Amino acid sequence: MKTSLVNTVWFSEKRKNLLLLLIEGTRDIEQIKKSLNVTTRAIMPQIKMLKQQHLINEVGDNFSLTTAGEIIVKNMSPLLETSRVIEENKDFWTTRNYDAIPSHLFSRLREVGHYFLVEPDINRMFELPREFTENIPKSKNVVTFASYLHPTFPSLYSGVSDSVAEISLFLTLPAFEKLRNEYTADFTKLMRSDSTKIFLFYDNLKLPMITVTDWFSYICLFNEEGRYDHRDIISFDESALKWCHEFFEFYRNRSKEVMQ
Amino acid sequence: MNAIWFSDKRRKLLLFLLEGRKSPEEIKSAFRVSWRSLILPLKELKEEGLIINHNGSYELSGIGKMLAENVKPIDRILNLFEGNTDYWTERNFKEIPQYLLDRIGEIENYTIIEPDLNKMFEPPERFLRSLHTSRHINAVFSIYHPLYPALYCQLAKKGIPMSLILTEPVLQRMCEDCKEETEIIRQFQNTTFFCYNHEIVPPSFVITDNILLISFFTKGGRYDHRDVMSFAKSSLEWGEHLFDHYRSISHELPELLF
Repeated sequence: MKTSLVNTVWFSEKRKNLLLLLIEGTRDIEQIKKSLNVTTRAIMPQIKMLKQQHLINEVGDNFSLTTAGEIIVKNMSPLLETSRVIEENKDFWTTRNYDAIPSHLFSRLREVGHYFLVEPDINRMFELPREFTENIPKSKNVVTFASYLHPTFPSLYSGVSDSVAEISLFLTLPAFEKLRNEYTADFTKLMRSDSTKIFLFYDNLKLPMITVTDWFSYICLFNEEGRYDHRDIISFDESALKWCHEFFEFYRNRSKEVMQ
Repeated sequence: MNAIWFSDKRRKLLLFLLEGRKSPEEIKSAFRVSWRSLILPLKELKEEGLIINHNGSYELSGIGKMLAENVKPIDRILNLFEGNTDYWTERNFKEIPQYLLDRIGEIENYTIIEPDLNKMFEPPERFLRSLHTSRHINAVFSIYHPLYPALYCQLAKKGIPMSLILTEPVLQRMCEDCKEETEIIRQFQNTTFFCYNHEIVPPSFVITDNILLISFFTKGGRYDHRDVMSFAKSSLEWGEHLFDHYRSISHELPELLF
């Protein structure tokens, strides 16, 4: 059994959890025992090992991370966060199509943070999820990309075009034409509204819809068969909003504003 | 996800497959082990949905790719520290800006060089050779080395563009001891001198297009003649970022020094 650093960090749940606890600050043995729910006898060997590897310091009764320990924990976080996000809804994440997501953002998908998986409601199959329809009107600005136009989508957006300060709507050509031809009244209202800008998106992004507002983000992905199964992600985390904005930034040059 | 923790082989396989789809032959030769010892880890990764078996070849699934990318940082940092833990834990990292310190794992394929007792004050051979074939040289000198002014004079004469940042004490000594060489270096169009005068003493390092050599101070503020040397691309990029940081807080020296 290697007493290597790799072994020290990778091969023990207790040691890993202790390192994660100490990144939050110095702790004494009682605090450690309480937070990790361990006995002194169980944790002492781990402490000894971490000290030997120069990852933690013991000063009096207090334990803290060394600089090396800190660097290690910081570099562990992306993996831990990503694992957590995936584990929470493994079936969902393993069956998505990620083609539309640029690779640098794809590896940072963990930034959705404390997200919620919105599952289709059998009782409300023909409506947009409440999580979406109730949160849009409460937003100050809305940025949406859509390749798929839900029937109640146009009226939702035209309905808030007076109250929401800024709406940017990016539509693929099929979605745009559907809006213009089949929902003409809503389309006209949106085009006339000062607050709303409609953009024609050149590419056919393999993504049903993605929306970011000033306070929530809403992501719809196709499943691995390329179908939209109405399972969506909503998140209120700052990091998720930022991630979505970066997504739009990446595709910024792929659209053109539609003028009257 | 236990698939990645608790097993060296599984983790290394994930990282290897980041390069793309691999056949069993490629995997076997890269890992230099029997196929038998790889069967179980590959099976476990498949069961976790992290890799797919595609006509006999293996590749990462979407999730597998996501996780492998996120394994990279911790894997790198452990590779950095592993085997040289005592060296790294003795270093004074106060000099390095936090955002670069967190990414120090980007220094890859490095060696710690410690000169012979007899060659204590000579720059390493390998280092000298690399310097002479560099297309540009950036350096921060916080340690005064009596042979350096002559060396950099030579390099300047070859026309190699250089940006040299000197701490106040080093600058002073150069002006006192090597006025002539310093003058000569300054004459060249493509050499620029900067002065760094903040309290925190930076590590002394040289970063060129083909080598990174860093002299980190110890926690006690001493130089123990143990340097980090690397030729890896990611190390060079990290080194350039470090140089950019110090350059941003140094001021360029005017034409006439004396």
